[in-house]
Amino acid sequence: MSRYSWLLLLLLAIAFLLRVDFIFYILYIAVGVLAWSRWRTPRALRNLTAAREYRRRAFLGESIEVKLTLTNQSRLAIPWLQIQEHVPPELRVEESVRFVRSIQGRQTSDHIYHVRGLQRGYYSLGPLRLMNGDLFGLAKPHFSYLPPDFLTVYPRIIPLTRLGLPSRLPFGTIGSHQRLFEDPARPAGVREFRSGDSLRQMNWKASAHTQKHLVRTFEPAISLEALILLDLYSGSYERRNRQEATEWAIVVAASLATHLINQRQRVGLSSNGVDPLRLHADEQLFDEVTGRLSFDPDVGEDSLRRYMASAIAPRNGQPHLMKILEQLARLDTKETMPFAEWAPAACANLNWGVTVLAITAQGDTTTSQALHRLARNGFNPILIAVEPTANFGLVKERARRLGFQAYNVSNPHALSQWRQTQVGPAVGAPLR
Amino acid sequence: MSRHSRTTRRIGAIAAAEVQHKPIKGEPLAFQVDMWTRRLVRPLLIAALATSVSIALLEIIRLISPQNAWLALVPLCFFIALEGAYTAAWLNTPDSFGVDRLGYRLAETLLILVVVRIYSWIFLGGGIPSPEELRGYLTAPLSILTVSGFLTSAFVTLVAWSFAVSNGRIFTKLDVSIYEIRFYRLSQPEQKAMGDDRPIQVQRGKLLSAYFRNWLAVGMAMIILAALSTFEVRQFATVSNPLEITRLGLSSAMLLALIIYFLAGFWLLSHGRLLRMNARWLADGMAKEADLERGWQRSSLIILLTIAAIAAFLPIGSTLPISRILSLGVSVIAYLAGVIIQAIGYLFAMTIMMLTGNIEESDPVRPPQLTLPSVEEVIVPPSNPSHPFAEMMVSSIFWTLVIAAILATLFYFLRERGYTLQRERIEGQWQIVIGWLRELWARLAERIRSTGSELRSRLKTPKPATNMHDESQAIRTGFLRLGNLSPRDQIRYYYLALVHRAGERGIRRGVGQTPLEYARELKETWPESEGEIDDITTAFVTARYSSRPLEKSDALTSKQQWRLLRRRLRKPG
Repeated sequence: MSRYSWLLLLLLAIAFLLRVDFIFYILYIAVGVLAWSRWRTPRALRNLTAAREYRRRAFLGESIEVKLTLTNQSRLAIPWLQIQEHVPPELRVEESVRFVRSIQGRQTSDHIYHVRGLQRGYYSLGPLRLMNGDLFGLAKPHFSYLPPDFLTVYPRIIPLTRLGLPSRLPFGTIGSHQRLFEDPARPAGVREFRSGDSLRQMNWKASAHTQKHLVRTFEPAISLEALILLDLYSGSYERRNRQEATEWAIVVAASLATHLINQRQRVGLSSNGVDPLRLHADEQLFDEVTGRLSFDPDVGEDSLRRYMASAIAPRNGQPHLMKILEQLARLDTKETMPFAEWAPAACANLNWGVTVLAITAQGDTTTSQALHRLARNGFNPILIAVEPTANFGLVKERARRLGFQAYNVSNPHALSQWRQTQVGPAVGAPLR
Repeated sequence: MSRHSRTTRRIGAIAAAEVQHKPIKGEPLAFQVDMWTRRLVRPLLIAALATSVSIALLEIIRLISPQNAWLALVPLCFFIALEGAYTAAWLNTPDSFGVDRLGYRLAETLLILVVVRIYSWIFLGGGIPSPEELRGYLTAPLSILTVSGFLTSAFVTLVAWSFAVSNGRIFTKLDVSIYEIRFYRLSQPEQKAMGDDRPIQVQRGKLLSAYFRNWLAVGMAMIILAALSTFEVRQFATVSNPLEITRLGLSSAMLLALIIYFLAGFWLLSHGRLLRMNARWLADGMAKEADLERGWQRSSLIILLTIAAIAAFLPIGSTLPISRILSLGVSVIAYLAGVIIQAIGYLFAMTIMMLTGNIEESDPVRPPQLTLPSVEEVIVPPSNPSHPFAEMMVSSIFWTLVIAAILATLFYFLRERGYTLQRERIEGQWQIVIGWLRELWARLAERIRSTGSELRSRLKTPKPATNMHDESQAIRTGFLRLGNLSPRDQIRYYYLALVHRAGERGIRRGVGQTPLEYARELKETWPESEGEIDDITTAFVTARYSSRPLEKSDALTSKQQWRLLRRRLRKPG
């Protein structure tokens, strides 16, 4: 029995024993305060609505404004409301997200705070925990929750300007030095007729005017429809710097995808990493330290394959790029399927001549053979190794012999040639 | 490497390490408290609570001793309680940690007693004591305690004060301290770095329970007092059952006291809850604005007043039937308890007697005969009247000590509160007073000078001899203070006095007679005083007609001559 009940009982007993009728008045007040506290406290939260407004996606380092709106639909005020928003530690909060406030009747109260994504990932904002109580300490506190919402922080994107990747597809929009892919829609000038030139290329008017046989010349162009094969099989990477290497691989993939989409090319993404969003809602766990959605269920290698990221078919356009970046933001490294086993299956439904950008740790023999098979199947595989390798020349030579090109991009400095400021028209120059 | 450079390098390493381990300064927590609630609302509520207790006590005292207007003490009780609440809050501030609590409280109590003494003289004793009464207090110091209801007033006032002090102390401890605010407003890394400075947690739940218990206990006592106040003193002897004494209505003062006590108590309960939540919010790093506390106080007041207003319209049922049932129940329980105790006593006595084994032989136990001892008439020898001088000495020493103690207490009380004696300020005010007195003196001197010059101008103008007669008459009738006059006027005064006295003895100064002619006539009558008459006449002529400055010694000489002449003029014949 609480001390307040003792007060009521004592008042009653004294009222009856001493026959002081006025004590009833005090008793009414005591009962009234108790009744009000117990009646009003739970109802206050029932008439309260809460909402969270913000942009669901953010680039790395971008500040996002989150607006919490609390509306008291009742005529009676809420004297105090304890508001506690859970924000992951990786999203650096610039204002307080724990505060106490009173809300008048029919009043809407806004609270704005900003978060800054410092690490790619899929984060939950919230839940918003609301606690309310009475003014006299006579009623138990009541709680309410606003379910969490999610924020995707894209991986880092390094702007590229001079990506000169080879292609087997003609009639694209990217300029090329490969004469094989001259574009009749891009006239470049005239030259003297040589043996073997098609009569259809003759420029009869110019020939008549100059009294020489002249033929039309065209600028070459390629179409670089590409699929990014991102190898996130943990066994491919060295244990000591696996975290850094895989993050860098994702950065390279995001940068390439962004550049190609900006060049109006069709780009797709396929990865053998796991996507935690494919887990059942009950199994989804957010890391306590970082606040990111992580993939932690204890499942076998075969079961892991079920959670591998779904492939995104090559398409162009900004919405498609956002889709790719969102998946790149969530991907995690696991021992799912080695690259050599997974790559042929990932390219099974691709068109002929598609450039396959294989981003993996190192170009070992197995990987090279898998890419060779892709080349033989009519694709244009390009190996991009992201781990530093001392004798990458051997890998490069092996790749040349097997019919594809290989690049070692182990740090941002290695991307410098792709990042040079573009002066003239975009002319593709093959990388070293 | 020299010693100096090595030292420098060490300092650099230490500084670098300090910089490395220095926590990142973050934005301080926006946690605000409302000062109005603490400095105004809370002390007023505590004072109201304590005053309501004193009203209930005074109402009972009024029933017992209706000849005094006891309720006049209510304002005093309120202000004393307010002072107690503020002092309790002040003693918990960091500035006053060095103050000796016991000494300060004793000083405060003594000053309260002095104030109560003066207040009860004014409002209960018919005003400030007359000089005769004061003389009586001087000779019999202890009689000051027994007049004008001082003891009762002091008791009620001290009850209100102590209640306010105890509640004020509880609420001050419930509030978040400056150390807690300073620590918990730091960012998390800073708090972690200063972990050793983390304030010790106060058991606020226990403090709030202590307040509730106090409030409840005193509230029950007040209700019992209210019940007692419904009883007429004359009927007390006729009431057999103490539970049936409450038959009259409550007085308006008692009703007011009860309402104030319970409403203020509920409001303070809400305030205590706010303070407890405040501490929790601060420790949890919750941002809070000061408006919340104001809104809290406002809301709790509105709720209380609304419920009180609604309760005023609810019917108040009679307690009589249930009271009878309860009384019957209590009587039955008391009867059963008596029976059980008797049975136990009987069994015990039986056991003792059986153990001793002489039940039949022993005489029945008879109650001892209570005989009242005869009261011998003690003839108290009449006490010798004490020596008046010794009595005066004792009372003087007593009052000197009392006044010294009061002054020392007042000085201590004010000094600890920060009111120090500012010597420069007092000296400045003293200089102002001195200046004012000097100015007054200068005005008077100017007035005298102007009067003298006017007199001189009047004397310079040719006047008939009758004028001098008139002047001598005026000297006789007027009231002059010779010490205030200038030497010139004093000489004139002595000469004119001589003229006046000689006229009375028949030697009148004629109209148009010069002083030298008149001196000749005087010398013929009193030849033995020839020298004095010449000297005083010469001095008068000099004072009257010469502009030579006169010294005090001249006036003194004339004064001595005048005394000699006066003595001779008094002699008959």
